[in-house]
Order: sequence, then C-alpha cells, then structure tokens
Amino acid sequence: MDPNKFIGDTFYTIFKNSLLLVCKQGIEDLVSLLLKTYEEKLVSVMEGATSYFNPVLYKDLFEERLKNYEFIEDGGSYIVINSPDEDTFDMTGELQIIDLVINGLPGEYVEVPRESLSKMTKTFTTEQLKGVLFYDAEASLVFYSDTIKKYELRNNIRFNTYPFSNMPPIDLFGPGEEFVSTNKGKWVREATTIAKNKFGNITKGLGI
Amino acid sequence: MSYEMKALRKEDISLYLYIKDVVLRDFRERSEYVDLELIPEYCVEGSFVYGVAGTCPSDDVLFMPTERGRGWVYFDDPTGGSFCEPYPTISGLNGDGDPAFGTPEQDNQVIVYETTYSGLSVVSWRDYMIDYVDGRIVSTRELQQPKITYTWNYVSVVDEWEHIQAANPPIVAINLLGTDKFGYQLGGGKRSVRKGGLYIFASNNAERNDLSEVLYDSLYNRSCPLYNFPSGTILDYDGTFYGRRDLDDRIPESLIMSLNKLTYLFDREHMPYMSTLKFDSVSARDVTIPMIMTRGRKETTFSDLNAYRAKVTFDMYSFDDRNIR
Repeated sequence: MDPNKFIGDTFYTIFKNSLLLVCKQGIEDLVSLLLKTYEEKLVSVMEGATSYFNPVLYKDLFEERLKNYEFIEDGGSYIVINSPDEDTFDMTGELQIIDLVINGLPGEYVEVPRESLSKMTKTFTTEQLKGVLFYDAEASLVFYSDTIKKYELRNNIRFNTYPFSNMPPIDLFGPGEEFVSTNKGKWVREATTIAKNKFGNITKGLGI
Repeated sequence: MSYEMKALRKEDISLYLYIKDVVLRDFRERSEYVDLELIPEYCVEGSFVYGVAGTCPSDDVLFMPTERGRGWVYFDDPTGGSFCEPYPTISGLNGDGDPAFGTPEQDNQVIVYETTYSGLSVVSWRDYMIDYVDGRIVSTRELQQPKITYTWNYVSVVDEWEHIQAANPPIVAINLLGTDKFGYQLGGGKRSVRKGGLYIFASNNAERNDLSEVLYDSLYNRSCPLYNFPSGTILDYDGTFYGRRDLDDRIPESLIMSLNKLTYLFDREHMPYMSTLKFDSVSARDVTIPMIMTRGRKETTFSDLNAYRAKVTFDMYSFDDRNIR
C-alpha cells in the first residue's frame, strides 16, 4: 500500500470522525438555543394571557421535531451543517400555528370556541365571517370585524383577543443560523486539534 | 439643543422612499377631471380647502387613494430609466432656503382646473398648495366648480406593522429587524448590517407574484442612496411639499410672481462619509397561511389581508467612515 495514501486516508477518517463528534456537541447547544429562543420570543409573550393557542402547548412537538431534524448531512467526502429555517423545518400539523405567528399576523383576531363558531356559521354568510383560520381545533381565529363585535353585544359575550394579533414577524430561527455561522470555524479548529492528537497516538513509533 | 436624525432613521426613510418612489413607480393610477368639493369646516379666511368628491376612484378600485401608505404622487415621472436614483437632480434652494441639489415638486401629476365661461382652465400652482397625504387642495381663493386630475400610488407602502390593517391590499410592509455593526478594514470605520423584510399583502395571486418579482429585482445586486435629509423628508407634517408653505414668508411679495419650484427642492444630499445602502442575501417566498380552511368548505373563508402573501427578505448593509474623516 502507498504509505502516503494510507496516511492521508487515516487522517481523513480521524478528522471526519472528530468533526462529527464536535459538531454533535455543537448541535446540542444549537437545539438548546432554539428552545430558549422559542421560550423567549413566543412563550413569554403569553404571560398572563389565556389562549387556546398558547405556544407552550406546542413546545414539546417543536422540541421533538428539532431532535429529528437532519442537522448534519454526511456527503461521504464532505459534511454539511444545516441550521433549521422556515423552508427546511417541518412546520406542518399543529406547528402551523407557530408558522403563522413567526410570519406575522396583521389585523386583530379573536379566539372563537368551536360551539360559538358553529352557531355563527349558521347565522352568517361567508362574506361576513372573514378570517376563520382554524376549524378543526378547539377554537378558531376569527378576524375581529364589526359582525363579530355585534355578535358579542347581542349574546353578551367577549371573545379573547388572540395575543399575537397585529404582531410583526418573529425571527425564531435567526439566532440558530447565526450560532452556526459564528461557531463553524471554531468546530473545525477543535476537530483538527483532536484529530492531530489522535493521529499522533496512532502513528507513534511508526516514524511518520 | 439641536437634534439631528441618526443614521438608522435616515436608512429607514431612504429605504422607504426607494421602495415607494423608485421601485413601485409603475404601480400608479391616474384619475382625471374629478370634482373637487369645498370642505367648509377646514376653511378660514383666505384659505379654501377642497377635497375629492365621492369615495372610490372607480368601480374596479374599492379603496381610497388616500389610504395609509398611498397618497398622491409628488414628483414628476423620472427620466433616469432603471437607475437607482432616476429622478432629476437640479440646482436651487431646499425647503429651508439653503443652496441644494434636488428634485422639485411635480408639475403634471396633480392638475387643478376651474370652470370658466370658456370651459375648464388650469389654475396656477401659485394659487394653491397640495396635501399629498390626505388628497386636498388648499387654495388662496375660492375656485369656481373646480376639478382635478391626479396620479396616486396604487400600492400602499407602510413602515409599521400596525398600519397594515389601516389600508386595503395591495400593501407592502417594510420591516427592519436587527442591526449589527462590524469592523471592515484596518483602522476605523464600521460595516452596519441590518436584516429586513418586505411583506407583500396582495388581492390575488397575479398581483402578489408581480409585486414579489418587482421587489426582488429591485434589491438583488442593487443599492439605494442613503440621504442626509438636511431639510427633512419630502413632505411636511401637514402633507404639503416641504418648504412650499413657508415660501411666501421667504420671498418678498414683489417677487412672488417670479418664484419657481427651484426655490424649495427636495434636497438629495447623500450622507457624508457613508456608502449607499447595499442589499445582499435577497430571497423571495410566498407565505401560505397554514390550516386555513380551503374555499371548498363553504362555512369558512380567507381573511382578505392574509389570503395572498409573500415576503422578500434581505440583508441591508452600508459602510460608515464618519469616525475616521
């Protein structure tokens, strides 16, 4: 065997494994950061407010999807470190409410419980009842139009205002992208140091 | 204590003007020979305020040209083609009466007529001021059965999220998020990077796609001027062209007839020792609001504002050498 090729291949394998190891640790920090961001930017907004769509209800699902996210893409001769963003992260199912929030929701919306909504849909035309966003959930988000205000007055009820009404977009994934961009150089340096030491140990006494 | 706008505010306003006056200048409508009505409650002695009669400009357009973020057009059509600064810059005085290079108030975007025995005649611009925001004419004399032809902005451009619901689509909301400043060379100087987004709220798919592409192309590989605004922005607090209201105080009465629009230009002076605003990482995406009931289910419908959305995100950066001059 060509000794140069042997050395090259060995160092490559050691370096790649070291880099994967370092990145995995970095990814754990990244997940913690994203969860912290979720907490700060979404959950804390709801403090003191009651809502059918409190982001705290979806935090476990968000965490689960984060853990299943393919942060590291092993391309054989290269590895790619992905940070989740709106295009790549799975925001389907119940997380769609979070997708709605992070894209910003102009206008004032109220949370109408399912029973009230079914009464409304019998009374109002589709034109009067604009902005029904959720139907299958316990409640729906309905645009707070004059029709709804009149309905409240007539029935002596007051629907909860959706706390994220009129809220500009929220940058949920931005800190994660910044974290990866800031740390990727450091991870490569750490992996190089680890690989150098390991390579030194393996080749000790071989005269390389 | 004298107070001057800081660079961030100048960046915000420069971007707003670039989007509204340069990028979206093809999205304009013209309403011709519309009746003007006197608004008695706003009139005082020697000042007659007129507003456009009726509600909407046509059966197709179901909103007012004076909704938030729209308004009448205050510059004539630019001649500079696809340049980032297409408006002519000429020498004169700015709104404060200081020498400046800038752009004069429009001549042919708003034309006021009055009815005379021989038909409609154009009223001299010296006889009235225009409130471009609320769409009003403030005349020094009573006009006889006045009419107006005016050009207005079809797309509402707003710089605060809360203002979106104050207008009907199409709307473009400018949202600048964070600011970071870095060094960029040996020695002094800063590179300021701001993350931003243009949020499009359209009334149908075609309109959304058009706006999305126009806005994307206006940022990709482009830059826009960063103005210094030595005499404020284009319009005064009351919607008139800045300097127009004070002109009579500056110019002696004997010279009133000789004054012209070069005596109150919008000053296009750039921020000294700072670069233009450059754009990077431009990306356009449609925003589909999730879990909306589809139109197939009869009991529900879309919200008008959230039905056709898109966003163009970007990084905006500039180089600041003011501390090493």
